[in-house]
Amino acid sequence: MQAFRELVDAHKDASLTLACSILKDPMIAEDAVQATFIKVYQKLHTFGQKSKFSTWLYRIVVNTSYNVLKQQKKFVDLDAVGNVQEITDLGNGNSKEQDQKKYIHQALDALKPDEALVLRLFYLYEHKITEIQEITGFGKSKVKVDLHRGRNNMEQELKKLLGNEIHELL
Amino acid sequence: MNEEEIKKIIQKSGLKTKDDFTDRLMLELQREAVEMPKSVHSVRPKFYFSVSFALLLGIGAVLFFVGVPSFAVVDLKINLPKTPVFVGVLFLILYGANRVLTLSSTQGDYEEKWGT
Repeated sequence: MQAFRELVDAHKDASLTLACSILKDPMIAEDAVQATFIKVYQKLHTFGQKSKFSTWLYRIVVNTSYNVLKQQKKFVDLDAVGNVQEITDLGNGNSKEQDQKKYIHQALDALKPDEALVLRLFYLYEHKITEIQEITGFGKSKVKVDLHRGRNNMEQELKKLLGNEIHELL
Repeated sequence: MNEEEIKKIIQKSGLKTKDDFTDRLMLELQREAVEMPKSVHSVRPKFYFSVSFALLLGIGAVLFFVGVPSFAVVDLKINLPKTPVFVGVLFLILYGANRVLTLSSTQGDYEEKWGT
């Protein structure tokens, strides 16, 4: 149990970030991540070590999150409600950093789940295209297209939010 | 905006779980270990279904096609009418199938809850 606790501590933040790319709501994403870790605990013996543990875990995070999203769509049309949610926990930092993170999250939340997910896997966690394919189940061309569109859409959203102040983020 | 700039921005987009996330998860795992329905895990519905279906079908076929009188050959001296026996076997098959479907449904609910 202690070893599993260490695994959870090592991967919980990345798992939440990926789940939030898809679900856009940190509260729902945290529930999805908790469900994922319960699933992982029960299925840990099936992990064949063919891939990295993180790849296996993130694949489950992604699948669980898309399942939750599918269930949500049965009840609520996300587009109709507006999918930009208030981010509740952005970590530590001063108010300027907090503001920057808020805008970055708003821009990422405005992207399609697939685009936000691929962008974060590639730039934040620095996974290779093949690893992203393994985690998401997307084809190579879709990953590349999502990366390209994600970058463009992200830039547009940030320009919408910040205008000329966009370079203060760097 | 070039790729490096996008990378710098996205690297600021990591989220953190709440402080008590791991504790809550561990508590949930302990609770799940206590509450896990044993009936779902103690039977294998597909195996149970296959074996019982094959067995009952076999008995039914013997009774229906071979004929009851031939039991006299093995000195069982059973003299049952065909139709009630067939109906009885059919009832048992349907009962077995119903039980398996109930178990599968229970397991389906469990899997849907946990997405396994």
